[in-house]
Amino acid sequence: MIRAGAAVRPLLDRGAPSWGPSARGRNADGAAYVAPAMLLIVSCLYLPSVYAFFYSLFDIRLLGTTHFVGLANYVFLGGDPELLAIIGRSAGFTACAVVLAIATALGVALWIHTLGRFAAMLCQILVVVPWVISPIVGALLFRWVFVNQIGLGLYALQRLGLRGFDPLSSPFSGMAVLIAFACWRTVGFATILLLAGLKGIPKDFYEAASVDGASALQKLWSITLPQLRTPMLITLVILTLSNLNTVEAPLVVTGGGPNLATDILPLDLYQRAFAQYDFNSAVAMGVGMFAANIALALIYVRLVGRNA
Amino acid sequence: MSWKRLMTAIIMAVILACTPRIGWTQTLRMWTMLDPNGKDPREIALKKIIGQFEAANPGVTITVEPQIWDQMTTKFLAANQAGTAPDITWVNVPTLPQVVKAGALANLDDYFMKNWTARDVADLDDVFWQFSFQGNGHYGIAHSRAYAGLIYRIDLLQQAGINPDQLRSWPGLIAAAKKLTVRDAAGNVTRWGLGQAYLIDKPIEPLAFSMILEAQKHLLDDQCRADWANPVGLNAMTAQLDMVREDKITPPGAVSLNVEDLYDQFAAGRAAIIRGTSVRVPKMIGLLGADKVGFTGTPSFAGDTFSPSGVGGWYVGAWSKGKYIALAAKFIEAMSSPQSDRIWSMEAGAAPNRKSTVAENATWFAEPAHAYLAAASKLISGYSWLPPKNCAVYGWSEALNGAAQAILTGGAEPAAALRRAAEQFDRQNRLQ
Repeated sequence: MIRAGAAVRPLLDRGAPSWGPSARGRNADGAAYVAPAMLLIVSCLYLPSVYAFFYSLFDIRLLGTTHFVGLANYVFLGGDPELLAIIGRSAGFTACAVVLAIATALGVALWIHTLGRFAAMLCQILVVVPWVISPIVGALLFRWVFVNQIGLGLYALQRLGLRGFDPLSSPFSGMAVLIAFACWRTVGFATILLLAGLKGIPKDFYEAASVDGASALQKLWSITLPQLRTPMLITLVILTLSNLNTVEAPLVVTGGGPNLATDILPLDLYQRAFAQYDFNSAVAMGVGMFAANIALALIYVRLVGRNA
Repeated sequence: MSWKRLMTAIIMAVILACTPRIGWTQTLRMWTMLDPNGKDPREIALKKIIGQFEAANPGVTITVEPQIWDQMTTKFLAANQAGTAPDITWVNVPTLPQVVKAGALANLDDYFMKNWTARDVADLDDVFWQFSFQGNGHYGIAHSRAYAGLIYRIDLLQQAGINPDQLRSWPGLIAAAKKLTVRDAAGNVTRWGLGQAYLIDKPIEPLAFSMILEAQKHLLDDQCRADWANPVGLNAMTAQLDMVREDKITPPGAVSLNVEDLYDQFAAGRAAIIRGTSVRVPKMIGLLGADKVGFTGTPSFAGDTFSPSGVGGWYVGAWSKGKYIALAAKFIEAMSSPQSDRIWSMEAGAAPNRKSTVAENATWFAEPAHAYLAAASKLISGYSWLPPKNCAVYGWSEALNGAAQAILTGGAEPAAALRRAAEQFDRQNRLQ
């Protein structure tokens, strides 16, 4: 006969029911639950990446391995006189787009945080629309606004007296348009993340600061920003990954021009593979970009772990 | 006993009902950018031709799997490696040598072309036909053939008192475009005389391309390397860009335009003449009317003829490892029959493949609304250029446009820009 106390004791001692599975068993159960998802991720993401790396060691001009060339494709890619400029442009574009998006999102989130429930919901819907619509559709809309001669944006600029201004015709303004597009597309997503962070800050902090006579700017600097560190870091990494891999933005909005001013890594990879049929260097570039993405993902995981 | 007989009869009936399907049904998969369920005239034509073929070949079904056009050839090469390619595919014209080299297409001479008479061959013989011969046979028949020329507004030329024949020479084109460029009271251009596109993405052969070909008869050297970083190329590029800088008939914004933008600008009345392809003329006619849209070739220095220009299109071929190659070849032949050619050209507005189609329907092709088809067919036969068959190279338009951009927006020296474009072209095609 089993006594009630004997059954309860282990539960109290170890914090887990004795009739449940052991730690090893629970791990096995957990592994079984995540196995289908992991299998899908491995087969859809990692296996093709391994396959791509394998292929990058061969001459694959006809999309079939002809002969082993070792690292020749990487050497060829590294010898491209444009490569450094492309990497520099990509880094500049990503940095500007991310910083601008987060700064804008912070302002928008702070403003929405002060609104009433209905107005806040309406504003959130409005700002998140560019993120949820198809990137291609968004890019096409953006291009139509700025494409010279028939764009609504240019028409408005002309009415304002800026005659002859064509933002897609100069390298500097072309990149500015691309950054503006990236910012427009991602600011809603960043706003939602930051807004969630803002809602998690206890009101007591602000009340205590008010009692101490802190100004609004001091509250922002000493309470809001430190408390938003984790959501801001997460937003930063996600947006960096998003912008580093965007092909639809430069492909549709600027076409990489003018004078290669907006030719960034994903577009260059796309052009190599699908316009120039240069799969050797395209695969090598793809593997390099995959490695960069993995590195950023690792940073993301570490940041989340450290700030959790 | 009677129960057993009934069951046996039912089973036999089921087997008999299924047997013809198992034995006779053959499904051919086809990759093309056309969707037979779409509303584009070429899509409607494809649906009609498939229907006719299926009716003539009971048990055969053609299943179209529409593809994104600029990724289709690459995807086909990948599917060839994976063993999952379709029985029939459309291959972008300049990529044919590479696809044949990959062993992905069947030699159509082995199926139906070997039975063709000299008259059949002569009916199709043009630059596309010759380019489809790769070493030991023909590997596809060209469809949706496009010719890069000039699309112009007939009504605007008439209003300005310009004869379209004037567009045959470069000075004539420039003079006409100057007349057609309109400015408002404030000096803003409301309509440009000549629309050009210098963007690298979605390019069309630039005017300098034709100037180079007319002057030196080739664009590539014997090793398939770019041969435009020379005085001929310099003159051509200078003449092309002077249309922006000196003549002011083309907007400086051409550096940010692709060929799709040109069609939009033409349709919106913002450009009187544009560099465009013949396949887009029906669309322009649909938007503006047949009495307003004309098509002609690229001007020449000689002035009494046209300069060579680029052609594009799709070779329809059979997958070399398909299960039903003979049947696929039969469909490809049917797609190009005299009857189908009439459907493609007279119903879908595509440039006719066969000379006989134009000859037998001369009155129809002479009508103003269809004149562009006869013009395109004539231009393809007489004034077109494709790279030598041993040259599996791409990107000449992109390279020349890159040079134009570097000069116009980057302030590069024209000679240096052309040299850099040539080096980049050679490098990307692994010719250095």
